[in-house]
Amino acid sequence: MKKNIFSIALAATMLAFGSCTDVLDVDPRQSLTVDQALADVNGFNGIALTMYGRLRNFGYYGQTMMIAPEVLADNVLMIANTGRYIGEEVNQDRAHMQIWNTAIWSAINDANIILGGVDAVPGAEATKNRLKGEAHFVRALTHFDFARIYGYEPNREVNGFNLSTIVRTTPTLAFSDADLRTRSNIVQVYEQIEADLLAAIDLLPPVAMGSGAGVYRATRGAAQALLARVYLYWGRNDRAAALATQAMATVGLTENGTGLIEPADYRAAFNSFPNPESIFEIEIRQVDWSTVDGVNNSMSSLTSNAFPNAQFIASASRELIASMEEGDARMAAWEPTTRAGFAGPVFASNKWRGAKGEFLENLPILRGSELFLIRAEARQKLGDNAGARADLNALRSKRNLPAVDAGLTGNALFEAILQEKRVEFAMEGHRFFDLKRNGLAIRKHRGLPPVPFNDYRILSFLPQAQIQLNPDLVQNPGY
Amino acid sequence: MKKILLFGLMLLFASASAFAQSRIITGTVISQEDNEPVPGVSVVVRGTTIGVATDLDGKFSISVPENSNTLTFSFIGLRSQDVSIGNRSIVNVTMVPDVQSLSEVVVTSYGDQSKREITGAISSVKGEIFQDLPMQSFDRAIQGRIAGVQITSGTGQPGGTLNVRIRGVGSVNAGNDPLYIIDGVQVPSGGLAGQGSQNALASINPNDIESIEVLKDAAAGAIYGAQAANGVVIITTKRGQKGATKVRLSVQEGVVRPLGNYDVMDARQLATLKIEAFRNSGRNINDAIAVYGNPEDPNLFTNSWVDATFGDDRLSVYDLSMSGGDDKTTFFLSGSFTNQGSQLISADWQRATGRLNLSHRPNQKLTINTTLSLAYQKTNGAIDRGNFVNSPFQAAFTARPGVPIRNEDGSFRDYPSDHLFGYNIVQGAAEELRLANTVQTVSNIQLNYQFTPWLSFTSFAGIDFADIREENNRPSTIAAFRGQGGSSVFVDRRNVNFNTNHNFNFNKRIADVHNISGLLGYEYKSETREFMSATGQGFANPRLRYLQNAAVPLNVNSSFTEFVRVGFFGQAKYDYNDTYTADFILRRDGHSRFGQNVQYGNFGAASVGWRLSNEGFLRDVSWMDNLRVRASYGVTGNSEIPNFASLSLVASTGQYLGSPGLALSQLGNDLLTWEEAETINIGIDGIFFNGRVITTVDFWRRNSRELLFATPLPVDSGFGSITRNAGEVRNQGIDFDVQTVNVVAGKFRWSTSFNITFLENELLSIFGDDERVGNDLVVGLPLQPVFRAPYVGVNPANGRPMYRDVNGNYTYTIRDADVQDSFIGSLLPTSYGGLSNNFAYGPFSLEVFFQYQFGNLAINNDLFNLASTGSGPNNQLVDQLNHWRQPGDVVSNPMPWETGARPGGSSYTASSTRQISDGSYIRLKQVTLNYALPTTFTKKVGVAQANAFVQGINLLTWTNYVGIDPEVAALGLGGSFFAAFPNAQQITAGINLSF
Repeated sequence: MKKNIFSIALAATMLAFGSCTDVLDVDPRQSLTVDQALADVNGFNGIALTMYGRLRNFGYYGQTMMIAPEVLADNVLMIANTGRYIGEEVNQDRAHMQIWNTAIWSAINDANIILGGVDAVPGAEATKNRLKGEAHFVRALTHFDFARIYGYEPNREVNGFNLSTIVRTTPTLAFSDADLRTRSNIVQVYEQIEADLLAAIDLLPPVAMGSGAGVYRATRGAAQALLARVYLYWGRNDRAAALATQAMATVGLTENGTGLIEPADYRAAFNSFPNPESIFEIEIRQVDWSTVDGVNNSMSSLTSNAFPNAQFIASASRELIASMEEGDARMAAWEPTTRAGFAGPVFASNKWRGAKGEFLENLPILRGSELFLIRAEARQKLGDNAGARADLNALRSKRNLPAVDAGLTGNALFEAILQEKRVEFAMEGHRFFDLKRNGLAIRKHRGLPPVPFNDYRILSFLPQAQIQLNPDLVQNPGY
Repeated sequence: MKKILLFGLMLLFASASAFAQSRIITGTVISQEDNEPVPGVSVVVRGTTIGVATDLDGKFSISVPENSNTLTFSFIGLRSQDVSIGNRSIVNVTMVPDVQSLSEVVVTSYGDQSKREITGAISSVKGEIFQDLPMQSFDRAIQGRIAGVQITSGTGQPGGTLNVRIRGVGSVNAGNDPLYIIDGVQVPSGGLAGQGSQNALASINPNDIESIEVLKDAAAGAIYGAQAANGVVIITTKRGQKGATKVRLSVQEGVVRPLGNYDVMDARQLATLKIEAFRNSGRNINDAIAVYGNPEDPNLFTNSWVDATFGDDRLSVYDLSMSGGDDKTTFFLSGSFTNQGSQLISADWQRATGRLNLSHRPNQKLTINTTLSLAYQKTNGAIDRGNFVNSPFQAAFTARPGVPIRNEDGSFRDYPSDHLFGYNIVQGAAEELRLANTVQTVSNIQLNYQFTPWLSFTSFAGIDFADIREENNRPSTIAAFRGQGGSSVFVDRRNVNFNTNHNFNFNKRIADVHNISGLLGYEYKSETREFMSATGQGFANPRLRYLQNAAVPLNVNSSFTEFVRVGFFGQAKYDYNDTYTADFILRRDGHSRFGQNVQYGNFGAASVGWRLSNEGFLRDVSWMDNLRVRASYGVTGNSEIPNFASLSLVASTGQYLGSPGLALSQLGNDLLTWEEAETINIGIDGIFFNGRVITTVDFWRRNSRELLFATPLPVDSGFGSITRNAGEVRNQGIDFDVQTVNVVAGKFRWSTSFNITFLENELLSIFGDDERVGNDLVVGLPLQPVFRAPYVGVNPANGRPMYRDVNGNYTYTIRDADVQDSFIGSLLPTSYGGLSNNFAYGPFSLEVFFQYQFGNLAINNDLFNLASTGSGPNNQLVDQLNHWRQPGDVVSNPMPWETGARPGGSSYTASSTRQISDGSYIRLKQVTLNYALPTTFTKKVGVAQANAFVQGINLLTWTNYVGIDPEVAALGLGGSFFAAFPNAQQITAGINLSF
């Protein structure tokens, strides 16, 4: 008996000793190694899908980029104090957009992984070009958002502060790639964005505006439209106008506005998926959300009372509603209603009614009407008042508004274009940037003091831990 | 051939004992403490296996062979004694309490060793210390009982987890939990379930525990090598003893009560404050009245969300055990049931346990031990920690008192949607199901073969298996879930821990003074964790909650993870004449978590002991019973990081356009290897004045280095951190433990146990030349430092909150620099311990036990919600009424301002020292009053011993902490917290009976 036990134990011990290296070979079952995952073009397509998915993050286009630029300016009246956006409404110290985090920077890394690796793996050339084009587009979009939140626009520097975002165009695949970088200057960043978008335009296929699932990924038209916007921010108005023209042709818009929706369809457009005017739209499905994401974080819950349990904390400001012209089709974007605990009429957004499911809807990021406004503003700044008015009127004709006064020029015309943009893109995240990029004070509602353009609160602030980690990273002035 | 020989030998022995001449010795055993007879004392003829136990009257009768002349009397808790028989036929013995516990044996999974020769720092707690305490799990039961061991209850959820830190916090990102070994099975601590805290260690009924040993330094822990850097806790359950079968029954019933609650406002107080805030901020005060009511209205409605959410609940503990055996087989069999409510209406915990511990010796050489346990735990949980509107510990305090909880018909009323996401917390607590059901076993089998008297071989295999099933049902009766038609999540988890070891033990005594012992072995350990969950939405009726009833199947999820660890170990020990001891340990461990070429690490320790009291120069010092110094040095390891932390991983990220996404989720590090803890310990053990004073003092230093450190990366790289071996943390301190018998006078006896640990913690380096990681880690400071701009009160001129800036001036707006340079302390305590006083008078005994810790800050984030002077929509602490009203007011709270976003300054709810207080506390942890019924009475009803007792837990707390329970603020769980589940007060009464 003892012999048996002894030999079994000995055998077990020897076995264990003998095979010790194999014993520790444990592989993850739910994850892949980089070599396994990125062996062919399908793996890179998986990365691209993640890259798009990151844009719907509530800290990015899922909420922040849509509503914060409205609240920080004069389009939104906060009608309930849940703690959210109440600081932004009064432009309090540090109440600003905050996207300098891994969730958003990862989208840039996804793009860099695709651009750095897809050429070396087997797969159809057309697929690779498409993926590269998409990566260039998202990398440009994300860098552009960092640039406009954390820095000034070219030639708009205050006190010569010309630092913009960090630029990353190489993938982080290992520790050594995650080097400490300095913020590039504004023009360097814009040049990088321009280069990316020009590459994207070459690589991406043309897709018509609002044409089904085609607009859920980047297209040539999207790259052209974004580049038009970038040039406008940059002050390169001729290029802005040219790209807007190219984009219109690509997505199927004509000079007189044909292709845009009819006035009666304005509200319905935002409850259709995709929006018929979408050039680039991010799709969301119920499965992307936990059970409480809708009520907690969706644009619908914050800006609308379409669902009885919505938070409904943000109304159109009364100044915005008052600024709208008689007969404007976009009045349909607002639902006059009341809010317990807030005296007087308030306005729920009909752009965000959660028509896809409880609080659920897609995120239109680039819409066709912006092209007319970009070109109008660019033309106005180039002195082409007639051209500017024509573009403005093309849009107004589709919003049930008469043509502007034919004698409108100069700053009055500029203000008219700005006003048109304010109304057209209310609750879509443009207003703060449109004032800032023009060097204007941030206009405010309900008698709040405007934020002068030279105030430190125009720029957001970098996370303190990043400044402490990276001695070469400069914080924005005033923080 | 050998078997026949063995059999023949045994026959020979048997006949020898049968035919030898013998005599009958009788007698009575009484206790010195109360002069009462002691039943169940083992009486053995020394040098033989002949033995009996005393009966209910303490009497025995034993047949003693002619050539034997000594009887050995032993009983747990009493000092064993050998009595020479001489010519007597009646031997009466008085047993004295065993205050000198050094003769005990410390059980490790690799073999037992006498505590007398241990050279490492080991502390021990006997199961009887916490017998019948309603403490749910042993980690809670030994809180404050052991020097050097800080135990805090991070949650008041009954059956919840605790945080155990042995000699400080050495690791930044890897685990700081000790290694738990329950009857040789390595059991991971922490929570089992996701729907409320459920303690993985609570499957063990504390009443089943014989003893708990805590191995604090490397000399003690190095035999466990790779896992021992945070210390080792060894739990040994009870085994049967040869003799008559003993039965023990204990029953107790009691109440659980809130320790306290925040004192929040009623509707009138809140409305008054909010109107002030609206007026001051230039808003329409009618808006405030519309929401909060008009304080001038004599009929203003108010109700207390706090009272509706928290209250008293029941507590019941039933425990039955049976033990006994014969020469070959002993057993311990037990069963228990606990039903413990909590102060929260929806949270409770039930546990049923069963255990069978068997030992069998088929022959003189082979011993088979097994422990089989099965436990069922059912937890109705609650959201614990986090600023969630569906957490009772947040919303019950923040909900507006002017909003009715119920409609007039008694049904729950929907809460206004502008606050708390429209969630009625009382309804949520009552109707949302957060259930966890766990079946767990911690079982093992051990074979021990004694080749020769000095050499044995042990094979051990043990398993910790837990199957956890969770449900979270959110019925459509609750407004927030109505749109979806309600939702249900079902989760299944299966955790399997397996470890097996095979080792030789030797122990040889040469020339009666040289004792050489040691062991050599191999160990394999694996852990797998599986997880599966499914979610459904849309139920036709809120009574339906199973997924079969769901209209929309929503999320499905499953995962699997595992690790493997192997180790080879050896120990050699030499002891000379019980005076000089030396001990050497070596261990080599490999872990699947680490980089391919650095999976193995070497660990070891060396220690020496010198018993001064055996030396001639001290032998005549009569008041010194024992004096020994110990010294040790060693290195142990830590590998508590995620299973695949060394690999670059590409993981799934959900879907886009219906197709699965992939992402690089983690940056790998091929060089990732063990974190090491280098420990030096110098200890002194002393026993003085005939065992009246027993003391242990340890001076220790633990340098944790090559930390498994999530070193930060610039977030613009797309990654927040990478795990690298970098950095060093030093903990050093003094553990002091003393047990004294202060007074013995007639029937009165007073004894005291006191322990305290003083320690300091310092981050010596991080990586490269870097000096700090954000405001979270700074070289030269303790871990868990707190950087906050100091709140210096309210400017009497204008009612603005003021903070001290970096230049020492006051400011309204906090800048980066004001925070970065304002180190105000650490969340780690600088001392902790416990004090127990035991008073006995005849059949009465009283234990009064205090537990304490000092020197730590506590960040109570609840104050952001409750102490913002009416900035937000939340109800406020009543003390917020004491706010600035007019120039010249010197008060601590500013002028109320709706939103708190007063232009020209930081938000009223900016992080500052306004949310921080001193986390030190002294707590009257336990008072137990016990009455031993007269045996003359109990015997008439066939009961050997009967006790009736009353006890209270968490009775009083002395602290300057601003909040409900400083204990849940301790240990800095994540640095700060919202809405923690505070501990409760428990008062129970019960009886225990022994047959």
